Amino acid sequence: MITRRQMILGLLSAAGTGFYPGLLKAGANTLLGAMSGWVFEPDRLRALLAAADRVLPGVVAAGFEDYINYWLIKEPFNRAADWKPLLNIGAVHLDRVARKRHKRAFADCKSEQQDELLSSFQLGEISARHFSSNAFFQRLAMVCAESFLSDPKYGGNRAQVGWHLIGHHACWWAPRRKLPAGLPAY
Amino acid sequence: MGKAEQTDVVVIGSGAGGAPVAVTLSEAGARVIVLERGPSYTIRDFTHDEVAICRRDFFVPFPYPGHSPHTIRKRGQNSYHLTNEGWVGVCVGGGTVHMSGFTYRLKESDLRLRSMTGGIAGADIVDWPISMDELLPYYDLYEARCGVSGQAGVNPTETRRRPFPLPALRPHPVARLVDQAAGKLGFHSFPTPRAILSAPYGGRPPCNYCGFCGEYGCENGSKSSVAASLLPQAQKTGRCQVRPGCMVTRILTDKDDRATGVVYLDKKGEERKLEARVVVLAATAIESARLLLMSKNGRFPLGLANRSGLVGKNLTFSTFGKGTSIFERHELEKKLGSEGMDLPFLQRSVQDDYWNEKNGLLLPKGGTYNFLLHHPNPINAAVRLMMESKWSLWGQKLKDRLREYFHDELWVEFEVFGEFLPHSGCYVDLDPQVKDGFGLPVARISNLHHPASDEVNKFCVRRGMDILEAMRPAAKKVWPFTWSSTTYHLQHGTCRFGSDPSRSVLNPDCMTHDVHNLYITDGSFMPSSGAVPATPTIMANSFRVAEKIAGRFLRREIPA
Repeated sequence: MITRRQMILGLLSAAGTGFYPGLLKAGANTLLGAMSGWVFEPDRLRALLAAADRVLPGVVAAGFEDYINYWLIKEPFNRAADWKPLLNIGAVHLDRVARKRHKRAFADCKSEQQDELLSSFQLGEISARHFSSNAFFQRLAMVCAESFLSDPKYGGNRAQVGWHLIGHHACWWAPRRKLPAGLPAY
Repeated sequence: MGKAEQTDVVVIGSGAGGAPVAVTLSEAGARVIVLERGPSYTIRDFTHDEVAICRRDFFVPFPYPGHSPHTIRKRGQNSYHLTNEGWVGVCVGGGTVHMSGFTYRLKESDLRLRSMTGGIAGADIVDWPISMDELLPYYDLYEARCGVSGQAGVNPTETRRRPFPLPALRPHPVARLVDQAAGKLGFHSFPTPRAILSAPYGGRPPCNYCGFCGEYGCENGSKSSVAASLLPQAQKTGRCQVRPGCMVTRILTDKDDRATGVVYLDKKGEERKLEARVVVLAATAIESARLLLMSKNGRFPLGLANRSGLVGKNLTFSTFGKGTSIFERHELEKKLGSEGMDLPFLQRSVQDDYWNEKNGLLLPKGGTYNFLLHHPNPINAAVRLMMESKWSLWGQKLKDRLREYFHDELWVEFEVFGEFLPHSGCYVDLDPQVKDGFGLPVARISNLHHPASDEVNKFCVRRGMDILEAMRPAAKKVWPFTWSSTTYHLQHGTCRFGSDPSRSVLNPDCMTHDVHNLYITDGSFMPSSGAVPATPTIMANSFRVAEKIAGRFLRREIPA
């Protein structure tokens, strides 16, 4: 996960020395996203990232932020117009319910509390006007799977950790080619 | 609109229905222009990028207003909603580019459904106006020109006189277990014929067994899509042009009810007119009906070539069922050895009860059982695992399950393709409210199943489950995944052919009864769906019709 501060520092530092080039690129993209007004509000993003890491542990370290904050708003993905509003409103409700039950933002709750809250969303127990909590949960879970198991060029399967978990390279043409040993175990 | 361009033949749609006409007529000497609304891809565009290709709009449009949605009303629904169902590959080569390439032929019982059943209450079934003998040579022609692999003489119900041009693809070792289980139950399993090259053919390389066939384009050029096979052959004549990004908005006719050409929007969105001596429509059963209905004029107030009122009626799809079993990989390796365990195709089919008078049901049919391994798509697998758990699978449990799925398990499945009886509850018309990005009304699909089709599909899923359960070593879990659902990309029937102009849209040569130089060569002509995917039948018929058109040109029956 790159914060905006890191990203701007990265851009300001001389050609990103010591910086992973992919990260620099993703940072620049996120900045473009922020400038175009597409990026999630910081509080909502924080809630989404916290929730995503409970739904599919490791997904945030693998670049979930880049995936939702850059690729979902880029052609042709931004044309799937219902994704962002649903995640956005879902993040608002995550925080709202967390504050009601535990008096703090979702991201500040303990892991068990977050899991319990997410279970309520998954089961559709959160009622709010024009909002289906289980539809939000399903969309979030789908985006997590997409980010974690897609081509690393989208930023969400950094160092191919998702493919390492499942043991084959979905984007290579060779059938079920095993990954070389020595990659970090996720 | 600029000055009209002129050609001999304009073909609308470059897929399974359009390409055989384009190649046959351009080789016969006609100038052919193929208009395709989608883009033209090369094999460099075909990657295994699951997000871009399967989960976005690479092949089919997004279902949002302003794009090109369809609207649909299914069983149990009172209103129509936006969908992308009913779209088939929108690109040069159409659905053949991202098909799996199962190339079964129809059988005599499909063409004689009415006389063999004596009619079924509530279903509008008719016999085909042509016989299997008329179609058979064109199946052979299709297989030879495109490249189809398979093994002849092992399917007791098959309709063929010649061997396949190519031997069958290498099967996964589990095929041996399917053979044993099917044999135990008295079935004859046979290698699934595929439009995939098992050896070099026509300058194209053989399959590399990556397993990304269905939903993907083949980056190897081994899948026998028309974009890899027929269209380059047509272009080689120098008389055939394929124009991507050209959306036909209207077919024009004159006061003598002759088609004079088409109006289309080119890549830049500019309206152009193309005059032609013959117009061939092959834009899929749903989109062809939509174009005819949009092309209504003073002489055809109900839609072009629609004096029978049947354009868009009798829409059929394929009924679909699926059963799944999970095998322990190490148990299989113990029995079968580890060699070939990474091969992607199971390559076995069963058609023994294709015509089945003993099933005790209203429709005495079975279907086609196609055994296969689960698609290698990882995101799809993760989402399916979550869905099947009703989304209770998440967190560390999800990661553990993913690891187990990919490392320790082998999912063996069967799909059932079944007869979809035509009836008044399944049709396509124009949506009065929803418009696409061009401002044109979108196709509105009403899909109800005839109860007899559903019964047969359920019956077939039970049969398929018997085979899965009879496999040894036994699977650790077997369950029916779905039944009586619809395969929307297999679509037929909206302009059925027949001899009686009041009961059909096309004559037996697939020329419209009302407009004598307008032909339709996609799945629209089929009055019954059959219990197999229709692509080879559409292509065989398209070759047949192309020869009829060429004959009319030679006999000078088509005025300049």
